[in-house]
Amino acid sequence: MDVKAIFYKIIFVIFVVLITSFFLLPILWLVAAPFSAQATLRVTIPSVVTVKNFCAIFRNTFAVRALFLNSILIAGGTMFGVTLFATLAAYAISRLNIRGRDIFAYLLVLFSSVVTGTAAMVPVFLLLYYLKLIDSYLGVIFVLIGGLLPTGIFLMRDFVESLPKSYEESALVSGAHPWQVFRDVAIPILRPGMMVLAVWAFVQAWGDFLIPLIVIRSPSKMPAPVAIYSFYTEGGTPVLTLISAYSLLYAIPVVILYLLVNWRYGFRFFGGIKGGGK
Amino acid sequence: MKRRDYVSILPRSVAFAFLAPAVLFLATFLIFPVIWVLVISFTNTALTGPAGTSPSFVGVSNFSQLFNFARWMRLGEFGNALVNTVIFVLGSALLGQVPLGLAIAMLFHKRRGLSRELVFSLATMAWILPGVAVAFAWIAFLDKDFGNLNAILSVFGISKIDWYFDFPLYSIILFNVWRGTAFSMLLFSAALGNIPPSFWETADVIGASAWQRFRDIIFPLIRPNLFTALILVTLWTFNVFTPYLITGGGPLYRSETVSMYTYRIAFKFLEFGRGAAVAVIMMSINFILATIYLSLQRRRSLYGR
Amino acid sequence: MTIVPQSFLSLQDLTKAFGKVIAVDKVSLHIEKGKFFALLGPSGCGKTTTLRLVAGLEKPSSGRIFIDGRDVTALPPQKRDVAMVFQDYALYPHMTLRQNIGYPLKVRGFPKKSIATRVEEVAEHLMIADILDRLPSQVSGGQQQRAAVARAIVHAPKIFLFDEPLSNLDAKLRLEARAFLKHLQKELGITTVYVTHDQAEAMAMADEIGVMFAGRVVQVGSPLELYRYPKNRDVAAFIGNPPMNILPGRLEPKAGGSQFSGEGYTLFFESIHVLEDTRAYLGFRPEQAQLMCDLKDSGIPAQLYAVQPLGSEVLITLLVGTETVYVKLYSESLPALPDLVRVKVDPSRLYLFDSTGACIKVPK
Ligand SMILES: Nc1ncnc2c1ncn2[C@@H]1O[C@H](COP(=O)(O)OP(=O)(O)OP(=O)(O)O)[C@@H](O)[C@H]1O
Ligand SMILES: [Mg+2]
Repeated sequence: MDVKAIFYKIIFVIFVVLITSFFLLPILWLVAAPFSAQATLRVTIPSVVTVKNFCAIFRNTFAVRALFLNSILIAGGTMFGVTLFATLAAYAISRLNIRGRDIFAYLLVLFSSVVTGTAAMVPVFLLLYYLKLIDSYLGVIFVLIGGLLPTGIFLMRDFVESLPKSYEESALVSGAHPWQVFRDVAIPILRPGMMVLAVWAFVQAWGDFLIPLIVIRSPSKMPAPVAIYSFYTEGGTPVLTLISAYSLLYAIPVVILYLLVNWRYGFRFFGGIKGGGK
Repeated sequence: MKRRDYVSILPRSVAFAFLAPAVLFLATFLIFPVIWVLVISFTNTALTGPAGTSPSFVGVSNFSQLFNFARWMRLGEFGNALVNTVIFVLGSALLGQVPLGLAIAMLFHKRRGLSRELVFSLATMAWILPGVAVAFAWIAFLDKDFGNLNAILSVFGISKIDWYFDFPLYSIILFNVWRGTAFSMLLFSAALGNIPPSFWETADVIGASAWQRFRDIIFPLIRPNLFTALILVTLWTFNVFTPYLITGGGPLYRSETVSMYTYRIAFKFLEFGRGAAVAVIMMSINFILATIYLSLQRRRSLYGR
Repeated sequence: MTIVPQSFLSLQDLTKAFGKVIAVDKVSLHIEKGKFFALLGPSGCGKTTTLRLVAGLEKPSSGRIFIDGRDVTALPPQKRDVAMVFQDYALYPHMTLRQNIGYPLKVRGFPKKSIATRVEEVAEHLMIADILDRLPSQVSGGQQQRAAVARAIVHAPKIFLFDEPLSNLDAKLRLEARAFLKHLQKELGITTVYVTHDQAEAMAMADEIGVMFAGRVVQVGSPLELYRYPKNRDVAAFIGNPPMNILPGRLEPKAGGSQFSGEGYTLFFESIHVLEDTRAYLGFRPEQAQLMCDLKDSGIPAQLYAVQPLGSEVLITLLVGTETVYVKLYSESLPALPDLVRVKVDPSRLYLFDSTGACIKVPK
């Protein structure tokens, strides 16, 4: 019995070590390389920790603009649009008795899973082309919103459905107009849900690469994930010091948001939180 | 819960105003593209050249080119991409992410503490970090001369492997397992959390072995989640584009999936007609997967879960 | 042409169907100004739906609602000037009690200052003034209930609607709250509709009770009327604690009246006349029966089942044939009873119900 228990314990420890290494090792480079003076593809604990690479990036106006203006604009705009429109729509769907709202929900999931990835980009690109939205922030933001809305509405609908109607009804009977009910009662109670939704939309838009790659043309509008591909020498070899430092800067907001959500709400499972995006 | 049809809390006009922006976006960026891509797939639309100014109707020639069986298995052709995709999906989704996610969820089901926090946080990070950042990290990880992977394998006496050149497809499969396992892990750990503790205890009391317990109690209870995970992961993996950032589909198209193929045809060669034809095929496959998923969902909600 | 009713709150042939389910079926009620009206009935009989119709939260399928002489059937809830206390109180979780109570005034555009004074005043009255700045989750159930009531009375509505407001309280608090609500209602003189499935609550609080079964209001009357003169078997079996004993049997015509025969006993009723042998039901209240130990006595033969001392009284359960019968004896000591007894009721205290359940004889 005891031998068996020890045996299981050892197996467990081995498994944990393997799993941890599997998930940790590939990104170690991202944490180590930015701080070494001669970053290579090798992961070493830098003998001299340096922030020189970061200084170089902060001197590069193009890179700074991409990360701190373009990426934030795109992710922020998408976050704002998705949160606002998804909340309004989810609230309306849940609080209005349209017949066949389940069908609506059904079609929403169906379309969002069908129209995704590069397949969707073909017609969407042409659409933007004719709408004269190529090479504009708005073009990227619109496509991102369109892609994220179905999942966003779904996420939000769960929150709205879990809000007892008696709050709103009580406010109605108290003499409040429907828009007062929405503003004073529904929105404050839905705020945690909206926060989760906003964080999710931000992270999705922040990390998206394909859409800005296709839509944005001028370097001054490129967000970080596209701009990073300019850190190559004339000869086409990557400048690893800059790339690693820039990658790290670019990844940090996601880590922070993850920690924030994890601490505030626990990183629970929100029906395929990552799905549906592009 | 009894279902109640209340008088609308929102007056109809307000409700429709609330719905309007979402509907507008969905119609423009979701529904309209589906219809349009169908139309384009029968034309020779392009952004450059003579077809750029006046695309013309070319019938099914885009499709027949894709399925030109004389040459479609050659590297860089559609058939090659399709076969790669099947291997990629089978390897990374069905054999990789789902079993690994289930194993992690099972292992940590009743454990709290540091090891669980560590594994869950790392897996989740791998899932949510920006694709570009992790792609560079993986290029470094897989590097023949300096990469961590070879460094570790050398400890076990395995000599250097040129992952990019010799095993490009396996490389992106490994990457995708790393990238996406968190979804299955979180799904299964939520599902296991929903199993009442008495179920486990009963099994303990009657003295079932671990395997019997899994087969007779756990597995039947999580089977619906297993299907959900399989289908969703398949759907996402089929469409995923991030591995392009690692291999670019190369060398010589040996790791090119359908998603990358579409990108190359439409946005590198700017042949939108042919790109649209591939898109139509991809969307049809997506449609089939999504329909299976939704009908499973619906059946499940009929059984009240 | 509609005739505007005289009473303060009037429901006329109000009907509400949810698909095939008819939740409220042609309900007509007329409630005088300042009255405490209780709507009583078993679960699922349509009480809540009726209340929600009055509040404007449901649209009636047909029928009309008048408040203070005005047809409000088509008005949205916010224009009806009623107040409702929900079963779960529905205190907004993100607002303090002060903000909760002030909300009806705020949406009516009262100036901040007068809201503050009015809220203080009401809170003082309901003895929650010292916890006004807490959130609903930070106060007890009884305090939540008072806050919900405060929010309802703060703007002096025309009508109060209560949907089982006491069901979330424990037994002791419930008794207190009963008295408090009744007192408050009398003091304010606001017309009140109070929904409950607890007959004791309705009896204790209401001026008038409407008894509902399966969407219909079967009888309306004062608590005493309902207790004494139930219109039918359902009402009789619903009211009283424990409710009326009802025994099946047959009624046949006899010279000068009719004869009821049940399990091992017969009873003669002088003034009742039937045309032929029919099914019927005998009724009597547990508190009006006596037990005879001597088997030679006349009365209903019964078998002793259980004896429960309740302090000032003793509740005895008996079996008559297969039917359960309760008898309440006002005695502190446990009586010594044989296994077989006779139940005796003063004939003038007996009830008779015909085969449809309608009451055909009530006590004199
Ligand atoms: N929105 C609805 N859709 C369908 N049926 C409904 C709806 N609301 C109520 N019903 C039905 O109407 C009937 C009356 O319901 P109601 O809630 O008014 O009962 P109640 O007397 O308040 O019961 P309880 O004491 O359980 O609260 C029930 O059969 C109920 O199932
Ligand atoms: Mg009710």
